[in-house]
Amino acid sequence: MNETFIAIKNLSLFNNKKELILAINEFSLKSGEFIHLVGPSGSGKSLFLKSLIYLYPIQFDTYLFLGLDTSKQNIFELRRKMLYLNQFPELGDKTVSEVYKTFESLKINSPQNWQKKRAEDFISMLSISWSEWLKRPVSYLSGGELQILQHSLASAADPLIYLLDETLSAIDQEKRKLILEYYVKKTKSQQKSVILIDHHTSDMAEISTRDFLSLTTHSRNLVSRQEN
Amino acid sequence: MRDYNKLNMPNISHQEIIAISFLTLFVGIFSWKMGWSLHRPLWISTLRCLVQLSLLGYVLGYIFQANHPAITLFSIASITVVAAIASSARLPLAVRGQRRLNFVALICSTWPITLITLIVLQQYDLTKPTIIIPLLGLILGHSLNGITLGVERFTSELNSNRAYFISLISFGATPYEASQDLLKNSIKVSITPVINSMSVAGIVTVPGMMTGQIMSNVSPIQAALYQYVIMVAVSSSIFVGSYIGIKLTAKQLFKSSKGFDFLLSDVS
Repeated sequence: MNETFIAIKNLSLFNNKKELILAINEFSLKSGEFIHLVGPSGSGKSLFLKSLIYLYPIQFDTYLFLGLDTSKQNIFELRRKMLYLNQFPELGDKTVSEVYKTFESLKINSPQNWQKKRAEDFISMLSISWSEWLKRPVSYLSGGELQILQHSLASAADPLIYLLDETLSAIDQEKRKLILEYYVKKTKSQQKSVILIDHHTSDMAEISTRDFLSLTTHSRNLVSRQEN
Repeated sequence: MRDYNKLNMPNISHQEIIAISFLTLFVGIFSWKMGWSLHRPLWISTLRCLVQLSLLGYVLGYIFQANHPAITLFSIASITVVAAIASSARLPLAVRGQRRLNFVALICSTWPITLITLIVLQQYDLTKPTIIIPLLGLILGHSLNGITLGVERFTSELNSNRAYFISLISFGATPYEASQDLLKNSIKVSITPVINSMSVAGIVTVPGMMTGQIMSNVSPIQAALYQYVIMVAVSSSIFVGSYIGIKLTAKQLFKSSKGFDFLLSDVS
């Protein structure tokens, strides 16, 4: 039986003007699920993913992670287990090798939960030379390569949940397919979960286990939600 | 051998003040003719400078004459408060309570360093206004600039590097870990002017205090040594003040680990 990773009831977020900008009535995520988060631009999909890792001061009736109240959990461990990757990663003015070192040196990481070898395997899977890759200055990487670097960091971290915010948008079709297969394998063989925002819907039907329609609103309009 | 005690600078009269002010007048007219619109702020700030310095002269005259510990303490507390207000007024991205934070940074950096400097200069009477007020004022003036530069850089870099900050936070970094590079860059920005000044002191420039002392009859060697003591005190104070100022600003911004209010300005 699949374990419930996330259970949410009545989650809301207000902006600095105290206007409601995100409201989710009910949401749940189980282990092994691959959710395609859909909705028009500006509908709050990214806001929802960022809210899940408490980047914003959210309010809720219930927000459980692995059955425990998230407000009482260590926020850094929570973020480490529920990794958010963004569309336009900025990883500093360093070489790729230094970026790995920066992330590896975070207090939250240990040799047990951070394995650079997994990043190497991920990069090799995309037919990129690991030794050459490490030498590349981040400022010279294309948008797609930056996204690949971020995915490889996530593979080294190996969290329970991957929150992917349009993180395949700048990657070519061939590599995109390989990366999607990588995440599908994670959900099927390792019971990890993925929530993906992606506007290429053609291949999502066969990959995702379900869609989640996030319809939020600007200002005072009501928010609705629909789940397949 | 030159007898420095017999050399005195003549008193400056109103005519001389008017004469030197013509320089600003000419520069302002030039800027006006060129259409750069710098004449108004230049003239206003020159006038303010004259009024403020004259008032300072009168006030200091009164304080020196009174020579009372309570008045001295009140004076140094007042100039620290004014420095904190001035340092936060120029910050476009100030956080809530920035004045209070800058005041803490200034008092924690300038007061102990002024005390150490007084001891080094063998001025053990800490209530003597003729020493402590000008010295603290000098250190405060530089420190407030350093804190303003450092905090301004930190908040603006955090604002423009949100994606980098979020990338690290998303991987479980603490806000302090995620802002380490920004902190380092900000301290560098605040300390760079004084490092540059120290590097060229005596080669390109004769620093202000040394110039004043030489003009007031002090031996150039002694003036140079005094200047060295002051520059070390100033640079240390800027470093400590900026570090505390930036750390307190960061603490205010990151006070809630569960959600960052400042990121909300992204969404409407």
